[in-house]
Amino acid sequence: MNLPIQIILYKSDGDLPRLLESFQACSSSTIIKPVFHFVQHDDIDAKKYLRILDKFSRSCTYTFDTNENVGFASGHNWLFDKYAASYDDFFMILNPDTMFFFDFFIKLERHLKECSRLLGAVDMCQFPQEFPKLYDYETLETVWCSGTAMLIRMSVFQEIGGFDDAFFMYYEDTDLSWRIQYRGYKTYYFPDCKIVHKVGGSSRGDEEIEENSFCVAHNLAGELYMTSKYGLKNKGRVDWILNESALKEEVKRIYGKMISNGIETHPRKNNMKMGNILNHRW
Amino acid sequence: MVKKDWTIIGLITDFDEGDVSEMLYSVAMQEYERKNMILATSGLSEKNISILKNILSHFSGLLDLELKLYPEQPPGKTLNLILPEVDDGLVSWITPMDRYYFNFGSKLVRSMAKQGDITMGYGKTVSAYPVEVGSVKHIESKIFDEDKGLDCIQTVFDEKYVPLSASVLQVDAIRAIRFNERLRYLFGWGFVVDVRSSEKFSGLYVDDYVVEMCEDGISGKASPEKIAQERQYVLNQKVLKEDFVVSGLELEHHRKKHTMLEERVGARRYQLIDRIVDSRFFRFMRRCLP
Repeated sequence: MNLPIQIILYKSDGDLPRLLESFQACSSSTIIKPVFHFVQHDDIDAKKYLRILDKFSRSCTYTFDTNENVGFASGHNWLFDKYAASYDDFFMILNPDTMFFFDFFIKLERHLKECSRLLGAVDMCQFPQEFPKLYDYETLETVWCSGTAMLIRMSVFQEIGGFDDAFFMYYEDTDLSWRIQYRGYKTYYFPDCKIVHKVGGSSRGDEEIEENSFCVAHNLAGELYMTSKYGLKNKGRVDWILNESALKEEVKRIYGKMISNGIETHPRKNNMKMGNILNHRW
Repeated sequence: MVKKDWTIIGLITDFDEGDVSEMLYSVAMQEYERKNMILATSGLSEKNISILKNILSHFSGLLDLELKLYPEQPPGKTLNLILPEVDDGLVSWITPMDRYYFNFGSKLVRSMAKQGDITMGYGKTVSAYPVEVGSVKHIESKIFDEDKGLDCIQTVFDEKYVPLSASVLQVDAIRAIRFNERLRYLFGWGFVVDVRSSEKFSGLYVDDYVVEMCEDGISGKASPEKIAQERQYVLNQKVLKEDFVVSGLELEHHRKKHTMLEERVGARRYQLIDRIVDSRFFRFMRRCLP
């Protein structure tokens, strides 16, 4: 079973060797055969990436492309459009600042053997820090899947039209998850399929994020866009973002652009039946 | 490029494949060029050693790792045996119930390496509470130091200590210490260093979460009865508070660097400085100033 893994490289020359090293150490006793599709979004000399990839060429099959930085959502849509003809049932999107646990593909194979045909997307367990989320620990259904490491059923991705290109960064994964659910499919969380994700201890606070106004502006604009797209009740927060946040002008500019480019606006419909809910991580 | 070696000593006294793998990955992901790990087992069965070696085979490209096998013995004794063999530089401890956060190396250890002669660096801890459903361990909740009202320092016998798993120490300073070999695993607290007195060492506090401790990890799986037994053992052995306090470090000169350090690395005010500033004498002096 081929498993295409799409990865966008952005200043990832430090992380990539570690990811591939961890892949090399993965147990090979599985029918899952990963194929990596890399696209470079930065201005690092491509030869640098190719040298790293060449070092691991005996253990990993890959393609390598370069493209302008069109953002996370469009970048993955671009990769999908280019290589979907070679995809089987599922494909995965993965951040380069990750590492596979050595039993990752064995556990994944076990889940996929018995997965529901309604499975639309799957979130993997991020170690040691995880996004806050709810999931049912018996059915493993979850409310959204993180784009850090997400397995997606190819036919579902095509049916919903891929990621919403309006997003540059942040919230595109939540949006995709909700659109998958809206079409009647389900989103799952596989807690024993673990990847290491490089997230600092400060991720709970805003201090480090605030250092990067570009990220903050996109985060806030994404929040506004999600609020309007899904008719969420968020008035106090919206007022704060539009009138009081330090980056309000930049946020309005990004938000305006998102509104004009966005796809498919509908009120949120959650088809999840939550039974035994765990408040995932914190 | 940092010039100091960082040795991580992993102590394995009981065995759970998942816990050990997570501990190793949390070390492997640390961004620090000169790190190496010594994995010390104590009293593991042949079967578990074989499983452990199989796990370690997956880390050959990710970690500079050395395995040392010891018979069952108190962890303090294991540490006392290993420390003389550790290269000069920095040292930290980790057990299968701990997971370093990514910034343990990039923030805490680097800060220590840059400062040079600080005895001990430490950060905040997160307690994770797992529940097992079938064969899968789910993290039910996490409690941060601030939620616990502890502000990075754990309380043991009504006194305040920094847990060693949230700290990094200078090897040359810690070599002067003999760990208490009487204490058994559950009272790993016995390894802690007393941070109350600056006469013993200098500290660097990084105001960030650096380590997660699984409260139900391999060492926390003991029944309440076993914990009570251990507590009774400590009391019977008349292990006094002094046993929990590492002494003998005379590094008073480090104290003077605190204020400067705080400015340079953004570390929070050291407890002692606060205490001095808050002292009656100091307040009196400030009132006298124009």
